[in-house]
Amino acid sequence: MKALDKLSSHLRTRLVDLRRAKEQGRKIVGYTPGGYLPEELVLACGAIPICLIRGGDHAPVELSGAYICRWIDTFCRAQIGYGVSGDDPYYGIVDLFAIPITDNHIRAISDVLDYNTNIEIFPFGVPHMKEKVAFDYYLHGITRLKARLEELTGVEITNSKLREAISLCNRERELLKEISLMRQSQPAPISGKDFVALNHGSFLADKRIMVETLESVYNELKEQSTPASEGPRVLLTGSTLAIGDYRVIEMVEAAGGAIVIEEFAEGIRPYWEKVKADGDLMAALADCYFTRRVPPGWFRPGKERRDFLIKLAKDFNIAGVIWYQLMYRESYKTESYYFPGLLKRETGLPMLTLESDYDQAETEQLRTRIETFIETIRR
Amino acid sequence: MIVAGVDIGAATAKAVILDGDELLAFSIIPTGFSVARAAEAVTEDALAKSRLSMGNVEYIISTGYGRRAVRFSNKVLTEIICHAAGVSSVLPQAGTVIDIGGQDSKVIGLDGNGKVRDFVMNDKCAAGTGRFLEVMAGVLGVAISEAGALSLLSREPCSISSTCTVFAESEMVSLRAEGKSREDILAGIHKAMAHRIAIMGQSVGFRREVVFTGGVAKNVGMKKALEDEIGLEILVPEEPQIMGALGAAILAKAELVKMHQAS
Amino acid sequence: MANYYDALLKLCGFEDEIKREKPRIDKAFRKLELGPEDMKRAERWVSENHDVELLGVRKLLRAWLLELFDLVLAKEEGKKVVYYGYPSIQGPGMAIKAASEEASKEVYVACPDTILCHTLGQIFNKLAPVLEAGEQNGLPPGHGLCSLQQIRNGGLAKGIIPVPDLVTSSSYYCDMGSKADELLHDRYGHRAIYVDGSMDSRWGEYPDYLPQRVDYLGAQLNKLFDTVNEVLGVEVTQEAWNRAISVSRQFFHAIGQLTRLMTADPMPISAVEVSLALQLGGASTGRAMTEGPEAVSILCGEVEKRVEAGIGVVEKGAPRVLNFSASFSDPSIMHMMENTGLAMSATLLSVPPPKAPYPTTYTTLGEIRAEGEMTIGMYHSSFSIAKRFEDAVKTLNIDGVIWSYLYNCRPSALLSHVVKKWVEETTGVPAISLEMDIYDSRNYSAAALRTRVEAFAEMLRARKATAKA
Repeated sequence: MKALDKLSSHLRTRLVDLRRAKEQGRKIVGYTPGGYLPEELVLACGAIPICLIRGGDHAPVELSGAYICRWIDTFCRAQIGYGVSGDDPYYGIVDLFAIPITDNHIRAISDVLDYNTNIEIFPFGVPHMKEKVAFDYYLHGITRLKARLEELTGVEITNSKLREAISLCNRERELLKEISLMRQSQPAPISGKDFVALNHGSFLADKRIMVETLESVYNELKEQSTPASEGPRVLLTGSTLAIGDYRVIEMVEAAGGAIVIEEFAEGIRPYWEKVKADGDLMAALADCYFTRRVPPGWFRPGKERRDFLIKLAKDFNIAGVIWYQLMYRESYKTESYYFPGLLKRETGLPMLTLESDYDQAETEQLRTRIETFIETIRR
Repeated sequence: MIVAGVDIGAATAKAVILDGDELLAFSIIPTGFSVARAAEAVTEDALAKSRLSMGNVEYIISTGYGRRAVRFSNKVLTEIICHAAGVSSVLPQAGTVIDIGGQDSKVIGLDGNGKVRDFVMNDKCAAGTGRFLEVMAGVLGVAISEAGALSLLSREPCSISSTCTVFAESEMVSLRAEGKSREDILAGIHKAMAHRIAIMGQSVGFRREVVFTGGVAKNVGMKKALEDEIGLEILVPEEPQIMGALGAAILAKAELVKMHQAS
Repeated sequence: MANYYDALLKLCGFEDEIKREKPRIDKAFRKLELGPEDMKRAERWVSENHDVELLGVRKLLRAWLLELFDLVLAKEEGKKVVYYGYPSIQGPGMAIKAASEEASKEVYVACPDTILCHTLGQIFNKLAPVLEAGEQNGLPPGHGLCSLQQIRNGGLAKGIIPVPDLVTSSSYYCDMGSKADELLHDRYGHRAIYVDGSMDSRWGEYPDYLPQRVDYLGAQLNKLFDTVNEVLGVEVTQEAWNRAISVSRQFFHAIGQLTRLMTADPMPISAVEVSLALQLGGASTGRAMTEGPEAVSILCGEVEKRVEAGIGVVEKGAPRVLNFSASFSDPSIMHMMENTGLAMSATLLSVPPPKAPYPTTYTTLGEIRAEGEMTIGMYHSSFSIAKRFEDAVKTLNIDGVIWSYLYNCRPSALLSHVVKKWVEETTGVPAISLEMDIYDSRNYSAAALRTRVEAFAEMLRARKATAKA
């Protein structure tokens, strides 16, 4: 796909662009994935948001062993490894690392990097339920972030700047949603691999270029569809799908499966909701990012997400669910025990549970399971 | 003052006989199934070499994995403390001890007086121990005594990514099938192990002089791989395997001196 | 006529009441599947691991066993059952109990997991079957899942503990609690109240805190009390709260005395017994308050006598060590540490926490309690754990720290390396990082941990000797 190629070459030189922007005085704001960081705030003060979401490689996980024991989520240990080693250049150029604290594994990143490095960490809490007091707490957190961003950049985040940024980000979400919904058709016009590449690209690319890319992709797909596989339709869900962690997707597609929809706590930018930019804009941001977002697995209880997965399975006419999570993320591990029963009761569909510690040694084991599962759900 | 130090590891048993400051003799034998019998045998052997008998020995300290099973020792001390004492006696400028044995590995930080400042050990996972090298060398059909030297001939070390001995074995088999040379694979194995040790030891810190002990210290490839990882020169004592037993003997002498002073 | 459990119960401080309580005791042991063999093993285990020559220790063991019987028989005896879990917020459990007594409602309120640890573990050395049952029912091994949750899960699966009417304080600052309760809800259908806390305290922020955190946690706790009223018809009022505080005051005052006596040289009793006393107050809202104060008070008297006579369980001048906590279920680990010649004179959990501001500006129960939680720190702030270790070392004349972090508790495990470094940097005292599981010692047994602890002890002794010279 032409638009994807353009995006790839933009991303290849992204670091160069960012370094140049820094020289010109612009600030780079890093943040952890999870969908709770309103990029609009970063854009509205002229800074550049960069999601720190690299994964799939065991080397930084191993390096983190000098700073933390192994019993923390693999992706989070990888971030600690990247942060302390300087092996990920993005960590070296951020002026501020904003961390929406969702669960204890993300908290590990915040505490361990704060203690061991000079990176400025800005944590703010994401409550685990959606009552009014929770909304208020989240709103307070992003309000504090706003103040820090203004301090960092010397630029006031006015309502008009914020509105502009909201409009841009809304367009990005809208396009991602439209493209994603196209995959309800049989066969889906775009592969899971390509959709994830787009979604992942949005974490690093310049926002305007990203929106342009999405417009092109959307138009391209409307005109001529390059259908993905005709194979069994799969919902891929789990804790974290990092940039660079493509093993599972590739193996599913190589086995003939078609990933037509994804749902991840971290790694898939939430695109189902848009910010309703009327009234208090900060409250509007909180309403979209916190209240109307389908929450991740660590919410208490996690019912809304489980119901959403079942809805997706039905809406996208799924043949089977693949649950892919990383080691030691207990919220997902525990749910993976009884969710298959729930899924079976509600939809009759089977589920494959996969776990990874970003270890190369797992590849063949994952492949065997995936190939077997695809065969069993093939009609 | 005749004293003895006995170090019963999971793989080998070592004994050292000292007369004052003079090393009379030492012995190294495989531990085998009976820790108690190995302790007796290795001590008798060292005594025989010294032309002495058990009755001549005034104080014995036992150390190592099997230290509690040595019925004839007067006192029991951990191998961490004994390695520090042994290494400091032969290399007073030692700042860090890396000890890689058959079934465990440790990094010991010393203070300016040759005493233990901090330590970290791995005794749960085979991947950082002599066992790892043994298994890999075996798969390649190389004698463990030659593995290190062979690894130094490598021009392009393979990258071994498996963190587990069991999986590294199968990873090696597939590298071999790909046509990678034994030298390159061995170099990769040594590199992976050195990397693991370096990470484990980071919390203790590698300070000069870094001294390498244990059976694996005789492996020249491992010495180089560790030097590359930590960026410091590594010293290997003449008999790296007996440092624990030597330290136990030195501490035995210190105990005797204390007892004489008290009376 | 003799019962198969007479010898054990007498060893554990029971007297004539065995005859009176026989029907209950019979039923409880039957439910727990504990027979004559188990009693024999328990007698050995208790004799080897508890200071049974002290009447106070025997009375504490008795209090725990009575609490175990109360737990196991609660439903059968017509009570409503409320469980709370760890990390628990101190107070709500006690307040619910006090309020229900005022309302003349029979409500059993406790933390069943820690009760099983201290009884099946510390008395019968038979916790493994419960852990295995938990592993087989949704919380498998190899994933660092909380063993306390495995115990609760296993206890329910084996029918040892009753299905509760309500679970409170589910999760607070750990993600595991709520998920484990959701799993149990899926199976048994009972209700859980998720009390949510926000974990965004920045490294270095404590003892400061955002007032918004008090608002949030306070609202959660008020919600807890509202739900308790809804489900049980029990209203937790300020009066009930005050009553709970005054009832527990006597108990915790005695605990404070005990921890002070621990600072004597030589150390007069094992930290195992101090923990036995301390955790009774944490796990139980019933027997801790009825039997606990007398037991601890007797113990204090006996320990005072030892201090006067210069009797200790470790030698005089032994290095004084602060660790995180004694094992809840396996006393042999603490004894192993003592046998290496260390005076395990304090655990972080036994050090009194900082006091909340007084008078408070808050008016609702939930907010007052939340303010208290911010002051204590502990799990809401990772940094507070490091800071409290630092403060304890400085104020308690400590020679070394064993940072025994819980590998399967994420708020603890994330600090595995950090706390050790912090303590050494801020106090100059040696510290080791010791990976442990304070509820399940199968993989972290005394034998497995011995070499590290022994080497640390040797290190500390050498330091002391050098310092003297």
